[in-house]
Order: sequence, then C-alpha cells, then structure tokens
Amino acid sequence: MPHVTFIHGIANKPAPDVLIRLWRDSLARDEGIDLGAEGVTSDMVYWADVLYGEPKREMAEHESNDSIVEARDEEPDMTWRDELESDELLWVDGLASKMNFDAPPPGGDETFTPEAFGDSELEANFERIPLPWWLKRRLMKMLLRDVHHYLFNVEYQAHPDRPAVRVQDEIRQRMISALAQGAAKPGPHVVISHSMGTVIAYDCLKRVPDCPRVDALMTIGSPLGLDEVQDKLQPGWSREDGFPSTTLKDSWVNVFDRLDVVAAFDPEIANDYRKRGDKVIDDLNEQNWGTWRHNISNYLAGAELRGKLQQMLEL
Amino acid sequence: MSFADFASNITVALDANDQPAVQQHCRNLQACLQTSDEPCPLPIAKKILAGLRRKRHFDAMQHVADALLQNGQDDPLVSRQYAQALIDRGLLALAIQYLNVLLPEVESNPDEEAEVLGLLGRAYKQLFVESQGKIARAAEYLGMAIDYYMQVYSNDASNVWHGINATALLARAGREAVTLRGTDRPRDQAAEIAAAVLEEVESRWTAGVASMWDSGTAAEACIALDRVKEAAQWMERYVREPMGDAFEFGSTRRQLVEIWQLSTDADPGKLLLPILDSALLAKDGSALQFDASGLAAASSAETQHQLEAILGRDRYVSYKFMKRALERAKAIAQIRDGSDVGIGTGFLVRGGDFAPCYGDELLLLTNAHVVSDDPYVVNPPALAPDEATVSFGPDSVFAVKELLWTSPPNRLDVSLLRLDGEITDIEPIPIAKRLPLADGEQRVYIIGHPRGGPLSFSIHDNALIAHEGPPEGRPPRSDVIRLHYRAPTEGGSSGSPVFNAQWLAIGLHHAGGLDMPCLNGEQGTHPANEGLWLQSIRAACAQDVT
Repeated sequence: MPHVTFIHGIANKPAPDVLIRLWRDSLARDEGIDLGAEGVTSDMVYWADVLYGEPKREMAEHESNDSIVEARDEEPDMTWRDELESDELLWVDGLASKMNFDAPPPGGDETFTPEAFGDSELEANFERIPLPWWLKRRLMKMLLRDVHHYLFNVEYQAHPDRPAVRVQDEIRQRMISALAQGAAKPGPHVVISHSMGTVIAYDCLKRVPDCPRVDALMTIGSPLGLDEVQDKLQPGWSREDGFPSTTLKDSWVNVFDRLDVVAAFDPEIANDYRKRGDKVIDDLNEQNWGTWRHNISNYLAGAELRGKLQQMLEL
Repeated sequence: MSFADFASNITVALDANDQPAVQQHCRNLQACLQTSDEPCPLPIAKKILAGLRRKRHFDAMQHVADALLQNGQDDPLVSRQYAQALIDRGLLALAIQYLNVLLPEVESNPDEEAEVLGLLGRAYKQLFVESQGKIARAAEYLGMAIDYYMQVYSNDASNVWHGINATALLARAGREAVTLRGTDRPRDQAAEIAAAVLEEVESRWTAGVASMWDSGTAAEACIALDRVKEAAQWMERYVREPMGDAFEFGSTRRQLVEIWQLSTDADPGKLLLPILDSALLAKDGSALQFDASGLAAASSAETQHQLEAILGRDRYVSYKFMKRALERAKAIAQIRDGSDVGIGTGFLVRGGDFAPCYGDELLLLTNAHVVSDDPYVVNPPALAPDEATVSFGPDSVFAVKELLWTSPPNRLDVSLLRLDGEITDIEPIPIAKRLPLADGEQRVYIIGHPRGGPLSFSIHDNALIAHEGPPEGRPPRSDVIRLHYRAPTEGGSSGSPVFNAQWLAIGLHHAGGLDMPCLNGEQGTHPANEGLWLQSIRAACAQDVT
C-alpha cells in the first residue's frame, strides 16, 4: 500500500488536521488523486507550531490564497536581525539583498505592482513578478526568517506555554519520525514537500545520519536553487553529487512556476543537485494561476504534477 | 464515571456518527445528572450541548439540557440551549414561553440577551414558515420575528446574523406585500441592512477574521441586493470551508428555500442552490436525499456555463463532483416484477471488465437475491430472469434476455444479465481497481431506488467502516471480500453500486441491518450495510466464464 509524507512550507498554517485535509482535498479536486479512495495512506510533518504561537483559523480560503495575500495586518517581527553578528549577519544580509528585501519600492510606493507579461518574455527576475511590493516584502520576511531559523538551528520559543526548542533539531526529529513510519509500510513511500518544506526534506535525506529511505521525492515551489541555501546545506551538499543517493531510491521531481516568488530565484535545480555528475532531477515547469503563484492548492491541482505523482505511487 | 468521561464518550460517538451509542451515552449522563449533588462543570455541559446541536441530536439535547437544569447547572447558556432544542424539535409555543421567562434573567448580559432575542426571532420565523401564509396570524409572526432580530441588530450592527435574518424577512414581507408595524417600505429597508451587513463582512474578510458563517451571511446579503454573481462567489467560499458540515449547509439551504423562496427552476436559485447541493453531496452526516430529477434540472448546461464563468477554474470543481454523480446515475436501473413493482436496483457495466469474452458489451449487474434462475433462492425469493423488467426511465425499459452468470446469495450474491435490446447513450459504470482505506474517514455513495421509488442519492452518514480487502483484511473466504458502510439504504437498494469518492464503483450493495457481525474476525455486531467488492466478483466471473 503506497504512503505519502507531506511537509508544508513557510508561514503560519491552520491546525494539523485541517492542513492535511486541505492538501488531500487539493490533490483530489477536479477528478485528481484521492489518496484515501485509492487506498493510499498519508501523513503531514507539521512544524508551523515551532515558529508560530497559535495555528491559523480554519479558513480554507486563506490557506489556498495564503494568508500572506489576505491579511495585511500580520507583519512578521524582524527584530531578530538586529542581534545577528559576523557570518550569520553576512549570510542574512546577502540573502536579503538577493531578495531585494531591503530595497525601497520603485517611487517609494509600497503598492507598486509590475505589469504582468507574457511567459515568453519571462526570466527569473524578482522585480518583474506582478505582485504588490508590500506583499513580496512580507513573503520575503517570512522566507528569510523561517529559512534562517532552520538553517542556523536557532533556539526559539513560539508560545509562552511551550518550552524553547532548537528549530532545526525539533523539525528534523519530526521529519525523521514521519519518514520512519512511512518506511514501515509496504510502499512505495513518496515525500511531497512545498516551499521551506523542500529544504527540510532535503536536509534530512542528505544530511541526517540513518535517515530512513524513501522511494521518491517531490519538491514544489522550492528555494533549494538559492546559493545561500545550498551553502548552508554543507557538509553534505555539493553541486556534483548533491543527490541524496543513499536515502532516495528512485525519482526526484521538482515542480515550479516561474512566477512563484519563492522558486523564482533559481527554479531549475537539476544542475545543482547532480547524481555523481549526472543531471537526474526532473524539473517540471507547471503553470500555476492567479496572483499567488506559490499557492500549494494550485500546484497540487496541476495535471503534470498529478501524472508524475501517479507514477511515483504506482497507481 | 466523571462528567468529563461522559463528554468524551458522547464526543467519540458523535464523531463516529454512531447514533445508538450517542443515545445510550446521553441516557447514562441524564441518569447521573439526576442523581448527583455535584453540578456538571459549565465547560463540559457546553461541550456536550454544542456537540449534540452540531450533529442535530435535538431530542437528546433537550433531555440532557433538562437534566443539567435539574442538576443545578442553570447557567444562561444551558437554558438557552434548552430553548434551542425546543425550537429545533418544533415545540415552538413552549420555546417562546420559556424564552420570555429567560429574557429578564439575561438583561445584564448583552451577549446572552442578543442570543435569546435571536432565538425568539427564530421561533417566530419558524411559526411563519409553518403557517404557509394560510392564516391571519402569519403576518403577525413575520412582524414579531423581524422585531426581535432588529432589536439586536439596531443595538449593535456587528450582529450580522440578526441583521441578515431581518433582511430576509423584510424582503419576504416586501414580496408578499405584508403590512408591518414600523415600516412601509420593507424592501428598501432590507436593501439598506443588507448593504451594511455586506460591508461589515467584507471588512472582516479583509482583516482575515471572517468566519465561515460570515460567508453565508454575505451570500444572503448579495441575494437581497440582487448581486447574484457575488452571491455565488460568497456561497462557494462558504461551502468550501473544511469545517462546515452537511447539517449547516442543509440549514442554509432551508433558509434560501423557505424564506428567500429560491428554487432550482429560476434565477438566482438555479445558480446558488446547486453550489449548496454539490457541497452537500460531498459531505457526510446529512439526512438529506436528492431526487435525481431535481439534480438534473439543477445541472442544466446553462447553469453549468454560468457557474464556471462566475466561480472560475479552481472553484467550479466541487460542482463537477455532482455532475459526475449524475452521469453515473444514468447507468443505474430499477428492476421491477410482473406487477411493475420496484424490487431492486441494477447497473450497467462493461462486460469485458468481468470476463474478457464479453468485450465492450453492456451488461447489467444486480444481486442474485433480486434476479436468479436458482429455484433455491427463496429468502427473499428472487425474480426469474423472464419475470424481471429493467427500467432506466419511462422511455428506456428492457426485458432480460439471458442470465449469463450468477453466484448465490450466501457467496457473492450477484447475477450478470444480458438485456433484450440495444442500449444507447449510456456509459457503463467504471470499476475501481483498489479499495479505499479502511480508516473510518473514507466516504462511499449509494445510488439506487429505495422503497421502489425514483432514483435517489443517499448521503446520510456515508462512512466506509471496514473492509476485508488488502492489505490488512482477513476474510473468512479469500474469494469473497465484503465491505461495511453506513450509507443508509432501504428496501429496493439491493443491487445498487457502491461508489468511492471518485465515483468509481467499488462494491455491489446487498444487505444491511442494525446488528451485522463485524468483519475481519472482530467480535460483536454493529449497525452497517454490506456490499461485495467488485474485484472479487470480477475474479470469480473471469474464472467461471471463459
């Protein structure tokens, strides 16, 4: 019996039971892959509570369009940057610079929104992604914070009633535990990761000793193409042999939309995670839609993504 | 046993939709409350009553609330829930008397007072609905309901639930030219309140604090303002919430039909009701039944086109779920005896799916206890093939030409029939290769002819409880794999297809009861219906027919 382990991405999320239902529903909608009906078990590695105090309300609309778009009053606290020093400060400033995080909006207008343009003209270029400046900045704040706290294993207390934890240690432990449960099933076992979840999945598969094996990996809307992220995945990662060969049995499919602000910096990663020098990752450019191209619900509705997943699950 | 234990037991039974267990646990709690000096803590009482209300166990809710009051737990919330149960059980006069006694007691608590006044409004609204406008007092009921709702809304315009109910009733008064005290232009007043309510909900939505109910409220406000496209968009938002259940959607549907007088025959009902209906079809826990002819009217090409245009690609899909159900329904027939009485159901399959020699020929699958040539099938007696008539509709009736293969009721309970005549324009029902998970979360759907009546969709508590299929099933006979589910079926449903959530057939329905022996060697019985896995039928047929 096949098994799927999901791992979610940046920003706060609804409670675990609601979130996994939203992912399953998104995959099943419009005559897609209904995991339960196909006899496929699934689980979610939930880590939003490591960085956020309370789960988001059970608003499907907010998850699918993402609260980042809807709720203008939820600006992430970025005072943690003030306390950084030396290499860590350089790393964060470097990534912030790449993301245009600190740059003022054109004309000083926070609502400035670039014109949409045809796909043929499209290059990975953050300034040209047709989202309001304030929205891009908010997303970048979340990405910067979540990625930093994970990669630098920051000690963090998300809620006064819960103890502080080392972010990477805690999330790794949850991921490994979920992978072990999946490995105990007949299989195939497929990991579907989104956004920051792709970094966590890769980090565990490549860098955690004795990580359980999986049959296939799907990364969606991933920032794994960023040099800064790759640098922090060392030791372990190398461009020539970054593929997690000992823990990933079969295929790795990487799905992106060039207008996804998280993946846009370097959406194609086959060149960055080679298997003994060979490009083996299947980079799949699947057009998302709407304003919010990082939207997991839309990604999971993609026909090509579903086709690849069906093969992975041997349905 | 502690009150917390009672609450836990009731919650588990409610989540499992196990009605006998809910009733039993509530009776136990009642007995405990009536013999205990210790008052039940309010949070526990609140949790129990809210759970019972959410799943519409109004009878149990009334009795538990009554016992809580006897027990000394007389918080206004308990009293209010008691009144709520009275209203939902149709004891309207009693509810109104009780609420009027309660009203002075909650004067110092504005939130509770608003709730009590809202319930009074609801009780009078229901009196108005029940009167069907046939009595002189109907207008008085309508006026009273509006007054109570307005009393709350006028004090605090953030009470959008009260505001939207006042809007709906004022609009109704306007349509029927009912004379009301205090206003001579109810339609205008309805529009003014609707605009304010919509503005309030939109601001909540922008701030990310809108609730599921707010979306439903906004949809009604848009109806009042004749902004149909926006009403459809809000309605779709409302039904898309994962925590919304069929009871809530059913309640909204009643409001649209009973108060707004919407129907699937005319705008805006023919656009809005299918959104609710398709959501209802996808949710478990509902006691609603759909008549296939009503669904067909709601799914006209024009409506489909409009919905797709308004809702867009990613929102239209829930409606497609209902469309798929309708397509499957075309291949499902009623099986009648010589007196034209419906005694069972059957469905068209591609013959080659069961034995390669039949290729693409359309054949009918039903139970052996419905049609059989075996004279020993007597309990219940089956129709002989030449006695059976197969009807897909008034203009599509067939005799049975030949019984091709059968397996007796105590084994696979199936007969495969060749019909006499050419079947056109009907697609066979596709068969699922695999069974769903037996995790209690999967839903199954039955389309059949219960009680010999018209084709209908039953969606009450349609959980797949257990099955004997791979990988964990332990069937007593490896060639007979059974499924147990709680989709309700009545006489006449025998031979119906059992569908998974993708509308692929997984089983052939054949039996049910309150005390079916559990599967997989588990001890005891449970209320369940039983079907046979179509893949085990296929394997047996392919082996016998060459």
